[in-house]
This record gives sequence, structure tokens and C-alpha cells, in this order.
Amino acid sequence: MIKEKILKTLMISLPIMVLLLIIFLFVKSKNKIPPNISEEIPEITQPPIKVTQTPSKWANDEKILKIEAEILKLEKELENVDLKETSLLPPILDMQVKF
Amino acid sequence: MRRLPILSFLLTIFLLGFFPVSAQEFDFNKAYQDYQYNYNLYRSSHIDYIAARSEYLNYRTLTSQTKAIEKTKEMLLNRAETLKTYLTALRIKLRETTGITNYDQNISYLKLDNKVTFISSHKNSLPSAASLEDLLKISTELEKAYPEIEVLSYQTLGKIIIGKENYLRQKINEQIQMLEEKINEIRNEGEDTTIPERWLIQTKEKIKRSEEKEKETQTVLGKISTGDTNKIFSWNKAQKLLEEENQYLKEAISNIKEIIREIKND
Repeated sequence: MIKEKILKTLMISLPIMVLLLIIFLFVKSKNKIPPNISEEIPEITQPPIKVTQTPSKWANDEKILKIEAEILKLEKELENVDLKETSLLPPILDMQVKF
Repeated sequence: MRRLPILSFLLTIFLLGFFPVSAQEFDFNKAYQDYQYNYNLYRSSHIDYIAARSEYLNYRTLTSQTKAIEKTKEMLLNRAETLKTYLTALRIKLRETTGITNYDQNISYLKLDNKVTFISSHKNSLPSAASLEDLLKISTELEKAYPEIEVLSYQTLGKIIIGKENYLRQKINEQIQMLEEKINEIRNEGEDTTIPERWLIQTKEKIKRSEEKEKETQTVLGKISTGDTNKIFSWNKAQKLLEEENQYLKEAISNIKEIIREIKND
């Protein structure tokens, strides 16, 4: 008797619940806010501004290029010059020979 | 036919005469090797001298005395040779360094040669010494003269390094002069050269500062005296000034590179 009652209740409530769920989903789909497009678009990073200098009419001047080459050579020489000359410091000699 | 071998021999001698014998030049590397060789001999003989001296002072026997004379003589001979070859290496380094005035070079040659002559004479008198007293007496000659030799060594070494810097400064100055001429040429063509001209003045200032450092170095080196107990301190001070001088030259080079970049770009 009880079993029959439970079955009867289920038979009525189940279609109501399904109907309610359909209505809920329908309403939800209607109220859905469109996704924020701006959020989805990755931020466009601006490429670094390249300072492009236009070469002057002196850029390939023979004299300027010669000075430049000489200066680079001198820069290397300055870098490699031995300012210590430790190998030529006076030798350590015993200058107090006595018995 | 008999004369043929003689003739061919004479011909060979004649032909060989045309080819100069490539005599090995006594350059700095050779002189330095010579000095290092003698310095090693000295160090080794000094160890033997210390041992022989200790033995003699402990036992006072004739055997230990004979050994002490022998080892002391050997050490003193090596000491003199080390000092002589060291000064020779220094002289050759001075000769091979550009940027030193002839006057400065000649003054140093004279002083170094005098010391080498003195050391040679001292060395020659050592073999005749027959007793420890004789050896000590001869040794004192060099010991008394050594502070002067030390001062001369530091001053000569200073001249060598100053010469190197001087040479590089001269070369930089030549480039500054050429750059100045070029800037004038550009200005005469109606271009604005205010910036390169201003930077060139700053570059010349760097050169001036490096010259000042050189003078300061010379003053410090000139003040090293025989009475200084620690000459290396003055030497280190001079070396610090030389490094500062070098730094100013590097800054001048960096400035010139910027000026060139400025000229090459619109």
C-alpha cells in the first residue's frame, strides 16, 4: 500500500521537476551575459620603437672611417697595455750577508 | 782534376759569404730569459749558503768554514749576475719601448750602464776572496750601493710604463687633430657642428687630465729615495696614478667614438 503511494507521488513529481529544470535552463540561457570580448583578446604589446637614424652624408667619408678604424685599434691597445710590469720589479735579493 | 775539390771548397766558402749569418738578436725576451735563469741559480745557491752558514756557526770546524766560504762565494756571484742581468733586461725593455724621449732614454742608459759596470767589477773581485771576512767585505760594497740600484730600477720601470701611455696618448691626439679638421670641413659646408665641437672640447679635457696624472706619477717616482725603507709603497702609489691616466685615455676614446657616431648620423 505504502509502496504504491510512493510510486504514485514519484510519477507526479518527476515530470514536474523535469519541467521546472527545463524552465530554469531556458531562463538562464536567455539571461546569459555575452562574454567580455576585451578580456579574451590578448593584450597587444607594442613593439619597441626603433630609433632609426638616417646616415648622414659623412657616414662613408673616407677620413671619418679611417679615424674610426684607428680609434678601435687604439681602444684595443689601451685595453691590453701592461701597466704593472710585475715581472720587471726588482728581484728579492739577500743584501744582509753576515756571519 | 786534383784542384777540383779545392776549387769547390773555395767556391762554397765564397758563396756562403753572400748569405749573412742570422745572428740572434739580443732582444728583451732573450734578456729576460737570461735574468730568470740567473735568478733561479741565485735562489738555489742562497738555500745552500743558508745551510752552510748555519753549519759553520754551529760547529766552527775548518771543514764547515771551507764549505761556508765556497757556498757564500757562489751565492754572491749569482746575486751579482742576477742583478746585472736584471738591469740589462730593464735596459733592453727601455730601448724597445716607444714613447720615451731620447733624452730620457739616454739618461737612463747612462745610469744603468754605470751600475752594470760597478756590478761587473764587484763580481770580478769575488773569486780572489780567500776568507769569509774578505767575502763579507766585498759583499758590503754591493749592499751599500743596492738602495741606489733599487731606486734606479723603479724609476726606469716607471719611465717604461709612462712611455707606453705617452705613445698611446700621442696616437689619440693625432686622431683628435684629424677629427677636428674634419669637423671644421663639415662646418665650412654649412652644417651645424655645435655638438661635435662641444664634445671634442670635453675629449681634449680628458687628454689634459691624463697628462696631469703623468706629471703626478713622475713626481712620485722622483721622490723615491735611497733612504726609503719601503720603496714598493711609492711604486704602488705611482702605479695607481698610471691607472688613472689610462682611464682618462679610455674615456677620451669613448668620447671620440660618440663624436664619430654623431657625425655619421643625421
